[in-house]
Amino acid sequence: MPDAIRRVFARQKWMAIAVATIVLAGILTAVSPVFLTLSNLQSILVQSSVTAIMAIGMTFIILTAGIDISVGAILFFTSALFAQLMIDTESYLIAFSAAMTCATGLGALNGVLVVKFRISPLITTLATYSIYRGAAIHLTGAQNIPVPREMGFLGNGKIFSIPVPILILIAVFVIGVYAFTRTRFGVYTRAIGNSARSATESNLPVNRVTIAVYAASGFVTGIAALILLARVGGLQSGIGIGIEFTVIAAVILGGTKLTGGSGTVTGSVIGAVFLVLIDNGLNLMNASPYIYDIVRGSVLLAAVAVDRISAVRQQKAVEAARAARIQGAAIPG
Amino acid sequence: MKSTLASLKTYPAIPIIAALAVAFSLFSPYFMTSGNIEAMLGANAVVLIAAIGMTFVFLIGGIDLSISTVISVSAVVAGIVMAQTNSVPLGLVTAVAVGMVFGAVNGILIGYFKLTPFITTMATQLIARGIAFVLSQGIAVKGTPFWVLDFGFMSWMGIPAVTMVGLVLVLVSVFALGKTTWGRQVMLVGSNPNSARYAGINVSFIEFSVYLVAGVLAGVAGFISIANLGNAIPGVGDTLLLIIIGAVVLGGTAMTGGEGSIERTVLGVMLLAILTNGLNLVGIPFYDQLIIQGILIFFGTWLAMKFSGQRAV
Amino acid sequence: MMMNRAADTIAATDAKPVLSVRNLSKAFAGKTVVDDVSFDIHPGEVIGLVGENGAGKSTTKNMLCGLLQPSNGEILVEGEVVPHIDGPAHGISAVHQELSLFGSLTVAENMCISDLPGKPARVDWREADRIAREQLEFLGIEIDTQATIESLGSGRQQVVEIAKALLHADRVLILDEPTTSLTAVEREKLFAIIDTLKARGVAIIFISHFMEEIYRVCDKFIVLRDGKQVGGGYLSDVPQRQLEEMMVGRTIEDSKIDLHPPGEVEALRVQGLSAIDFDGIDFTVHKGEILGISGLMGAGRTEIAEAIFGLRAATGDVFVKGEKVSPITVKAMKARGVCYVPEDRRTNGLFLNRPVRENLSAAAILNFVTRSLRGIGFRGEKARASDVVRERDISVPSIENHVSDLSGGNQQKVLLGRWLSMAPEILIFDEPTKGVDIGAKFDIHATIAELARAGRAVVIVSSDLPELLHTTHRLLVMRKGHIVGEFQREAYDSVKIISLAASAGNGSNGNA
Repeated sequence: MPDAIRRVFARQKWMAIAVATIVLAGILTAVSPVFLTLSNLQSILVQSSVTAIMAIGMTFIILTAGIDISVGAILFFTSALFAQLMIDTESYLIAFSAAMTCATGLGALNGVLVVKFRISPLITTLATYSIYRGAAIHLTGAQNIPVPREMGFLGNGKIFSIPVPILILIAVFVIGVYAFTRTRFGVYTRAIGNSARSATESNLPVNRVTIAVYAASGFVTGIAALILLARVGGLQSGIGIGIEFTVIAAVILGGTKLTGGSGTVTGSVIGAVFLVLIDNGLNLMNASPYIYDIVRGSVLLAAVAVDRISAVRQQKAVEAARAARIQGAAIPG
Repeated sequence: MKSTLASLKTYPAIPIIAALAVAFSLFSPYFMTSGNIEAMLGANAVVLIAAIGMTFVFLIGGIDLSISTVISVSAVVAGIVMAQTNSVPLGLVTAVAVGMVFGAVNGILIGYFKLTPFITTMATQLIARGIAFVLSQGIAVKGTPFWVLDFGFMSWMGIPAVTMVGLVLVLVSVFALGKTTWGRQVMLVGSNPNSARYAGINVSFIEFSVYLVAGVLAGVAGFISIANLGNAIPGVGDTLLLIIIGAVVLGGTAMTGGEGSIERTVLGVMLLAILTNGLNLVGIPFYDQLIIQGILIFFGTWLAMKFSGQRAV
Repeated sequence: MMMNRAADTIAATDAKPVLSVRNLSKAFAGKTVVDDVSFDIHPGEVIGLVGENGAGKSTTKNMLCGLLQPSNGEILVEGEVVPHIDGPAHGISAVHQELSLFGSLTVAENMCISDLPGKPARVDWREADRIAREQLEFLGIEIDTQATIESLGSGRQQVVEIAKALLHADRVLILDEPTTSLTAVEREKLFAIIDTLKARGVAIIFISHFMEEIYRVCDKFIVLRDGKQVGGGYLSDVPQRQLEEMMVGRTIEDSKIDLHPPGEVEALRVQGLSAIDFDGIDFTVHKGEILGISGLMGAGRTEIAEAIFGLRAATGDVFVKGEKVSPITVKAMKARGVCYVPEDRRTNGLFLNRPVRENLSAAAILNFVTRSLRGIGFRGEKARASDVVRERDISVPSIENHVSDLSGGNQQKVLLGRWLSMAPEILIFDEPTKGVDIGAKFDIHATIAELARAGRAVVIVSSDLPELLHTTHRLLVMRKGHIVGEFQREAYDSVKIISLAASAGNGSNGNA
């Protein structure tokens, strides 16, 4: 690889997944004539909207070197609350504002627990996962609840012939990129994940930013919940189960490091699309739906392996430069 | 007094267990009956065996998210093999072998190629789950040999046979951890992998072997799940991850490594088992149990951390 | 030339000092680490704070930038006594050895992060970039403000850190060993920046081991030794040799311990050992001999020791008792009776949350237990561990206590006990007495001498020169990955050794 290209790849961490996505799309175009149709491309984006929106939130959390296993449960809780309130109050305003407040609040609670109790984010959110999920079923009495027919607009409607979920995804993406690049919140987030020590030394509001990051993830998960609810037409008991791993996988595929500090929102969105493309491809091949997990797992393994190999290479280059300096220095005795 | 405090430090789960046991026996006369205890023991054999493996992984400062679905895939493969051959030994060997393969893959990738445990085992978790569902077509595998079904109901002096298997594995693991060079090296690697390397310990091998052991134990747990449930269920492990990790951290084993024991995990498993059983007896619905379980795992972990003076779990 | 520089600034002393220190002291748990330090610094002045490791330089620095509260004495800013130093408010900033930068953030982001221009919801990156660019231009350096920190070399990172520090506080700048990770060219650039800052009236406190650097950039100096201020004044009045003697201080001859003459039998031979941090290393150690390897931080001492013990990849040969070891692995070296006691005992040596017993037996479990089955059982471990605790005089309530409960000296003794129970024939020590108290230091030195007397070969790697002069038969001096000098005990000359190790340049302008 020429140096200039390598630099672009090093700088724009989402380039690798973008290239992989284009290659995969190319293959699918060659294999199937229906792939490269507007409706299929639209449907791919619609299908990825829920995970992509959640992945945008998760990116910020992982940037701080945290993790949130409970996002699937927040998704479920928000859906349950919204559906239940629609039945009880028949008011979109109440249901919508309560759902979004709750989603944000549950995310914020994760952040507060992480900051105050200093138990690892993994264990903390594993515990809240159980709590939120239980609370949601408690709320609805474990029943499937339909949502009003006109909700379908959020999931399947179109504005200017663009599906609404795609518009929402674009909006969240633009805000996410803006927050990431343009706001103090964004730069603090990256800084904290880079080095908590340096962040504290530089007097950054580490705790506040950490809580805000989890809250923001909760908020976008709330948005995703409403889209999902609209698309499937009502609350089902399986909503959100296992989605946390898909979301994390999208973020990791997008080039964000679990160790924090390094990553992009763009990469995570492309990562989510990439995962749907794989599903799409398997679907075109009439593969058993059970194979999807195997392929996803393998892709994830391949991604971390490639990442590891490039890290080792980089390390070797640095060492070679150091060696050259030592050996260049012929010292008289 | 001092020794009480010391044992609290080592076994922070004991007071919670005692409190729960007293409370539940007050609420339900059935709680302290031998029939209930036997049922409780049997129902938790799978979690116990898998949690032993997770304990080893936590002790070296790692994590294995794949344990839950490796249980499923070993059960399914063993179930299919037994349905075809009607040979129980072959089924057991298959379950162990499947677990071993997954453990070895995790171990090689994490121990030797130094991939992050979290993502690596998240990926193998997906793969294991996928294989379990593909092979079983998503439904319970039929044709379990009668002996396995009988084994699921066998018990001796009020202790179910499946629990016996778990207890034997506990003893073997306690021995391996406390009385062998390997176990010692596991603790040292978990305490400080750098120091271990400087002391001449083969850190990569220890990491590899621990994931291998965790895989094998997940395989055995998978086989036991067939005996417990009567069939190999492809989704059997899906909901177990929280309980397995919860039992280990509640017992007082730290995720950061070098601190904890198998005995503590046994207590952690007991704690969650009593909680579930008691709440069932009292008539608390499963979703409220999820809430209580989550709260208990969080604060129990926090307490365990406080008691043993760990900085972070 | 240096005289001129110093003479220029004498005029400046007429002005009011920007920072004054009066009888500054600091004690930790009753142990005084800084004792009665006083000095003044004026705008545009550079003061060199010199002293050996553990002389109290860091503690002094931390008090000056507000990280530590003095136990005694006062600090005056612009003639006013301040009870507590607040860096930004008082215009004092420090660049520590460990940089506080964010690797994946850009230069501009790093420099402005504590005070971002624009609104919280809309950071003005153009303005941040301008601030960063202006600041870097002001310092006369060209760095792409949009480059990430991790893409820069350590020299440029250092410069960014300085620029960042000066952005918030520009009256007094404290630089703690700023050159250790820099190349010769980078160092010259840094000196040019210091000259610029001086000309602009910034007062600088420059902490360094390197004598030539002190003379290159400083006007005045303060020498600390064992926490006490043992000298100070204008560098133009003091020749380098005298300054070095002040620093090394204690009369080395008196404290030399009796060493038996070394044997003639070769124990360890290193031939043409090369790796990324050193090149073409040859030396031999004999039975009963104690060989010292001295050099400054970053000279490659530790790396050599680790390579010999199989902890790092290297090319070249290592012979143990005349027999070539191949491949060089920890296992192979241990099997041949070689041991290595690492420098950083907390990160590379001890198992802090494990008991003393396990720490002692970690390297040679078979010497602790009697077993009938391979790999199984720990019978005898407790008794043997208790013996080692007694032999090594480790003060600990029980062998079951965690090592983290022990003092630094006792921790070091545990580490020593671990390796000595392997019954090694060749011992490599890396900074054997770093951060231990005087009593433990004495014990450890006595142990090393005893080991040599018993015919073991010993290599000591240390940055504590008096320690090496005190305990070794022979001394190698390293600089930038090469061995640049060898001294026999009879010919030890601390001043010569220091100037050889610390001389500027990496050969191209080698003026050793």
